[in-house]
Amino acid sequence: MTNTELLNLHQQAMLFAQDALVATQHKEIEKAQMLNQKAFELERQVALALVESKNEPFRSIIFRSAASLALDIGKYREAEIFISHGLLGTPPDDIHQELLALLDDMKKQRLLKDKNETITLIGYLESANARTNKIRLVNGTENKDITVTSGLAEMVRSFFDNKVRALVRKTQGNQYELINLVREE
Amino acid sequence: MTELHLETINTQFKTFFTSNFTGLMLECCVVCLGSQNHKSGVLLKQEAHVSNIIEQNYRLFWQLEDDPILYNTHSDANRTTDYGAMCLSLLLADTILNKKGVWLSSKIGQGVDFWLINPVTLQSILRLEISGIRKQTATNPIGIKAKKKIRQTNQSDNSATLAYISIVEFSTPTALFIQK
Repeated sequence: MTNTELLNLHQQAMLFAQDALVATQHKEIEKAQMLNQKAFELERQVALALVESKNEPFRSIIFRSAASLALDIGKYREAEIFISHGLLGTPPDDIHQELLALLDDMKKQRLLKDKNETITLIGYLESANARTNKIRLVNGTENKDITVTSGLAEMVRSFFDNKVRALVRKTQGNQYELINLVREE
Repeated sequence: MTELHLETINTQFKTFFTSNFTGLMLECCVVCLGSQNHKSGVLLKQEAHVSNIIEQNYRLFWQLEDDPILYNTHSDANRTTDYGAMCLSLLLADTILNKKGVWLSSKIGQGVDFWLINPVTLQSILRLEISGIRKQTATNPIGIKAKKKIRQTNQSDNSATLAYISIVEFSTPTALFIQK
């Protein structure tokens, strides 16, 4: 991509981002989200074209901008990647500090989101499947299958047929992923 | 005395910013001034510390009506003050700095950051940092804010890019323009 193309694409991204700020000020949250999404898609293209560039501070300005937009639409992993790319270049001190501050924001927002998306399930640990790494909690007629990332055998040994309290994270497709499991007194 | 017409933000920067965004900056600026009981024609004191110290007064004019709906729309005091300060800072930057390039904005947190760049090489010509104060108080005067900003800069900045700080205070109204 030529410099002119990069600049044009970035400017288009920023036009969407500016209108997103206007929508936010008018409390049109869905519209702001949609505009930020469009801005991010364009800014991501600019950023990816600059991975190998040494043109500072333009390079780090774009990575910071792409990361900030990613954060606005909840794409934490992508925000992290863009911040890392920005830091890997040679950003001037002030942008370096801003990238670190953005990383800090990203961590805080991610933690808050995780906290909001966790739920507690209570039931009897009735079965486990080592092949799919799932345990099943039964509460009356209701069954909940929960994915366990580690320690399945130990859980079965300690809690099988016991009433347990599971802190889980709801993932895509209404699946549950275990964060913590304790015996329910 | 130089006249500064706030509505020119809509035409002067139309290549770089959307009309919605320049409209937002304009409305916020009018709200900030109106909230301090200023009317169109009010005096703005500007002090620029660039290659030398330039003091200049402007008469600010606007046509936008001081409508209560505007105050309801722009009820977030901090953001409104920031956007209002952006309006005046960008208009003054064009006059004070007299540098040619393309104004580039980049997303940063809840707002935007402004750079003037060379459109061919993409090398930056200057960075403009903007701060707004709706009404200065004994504990938050414009001078202290300026000193704080400069001190932060001295601690950290190794950038070769020229950087300017613009601080706009709406109750007096005053604009400080400082080269880092």
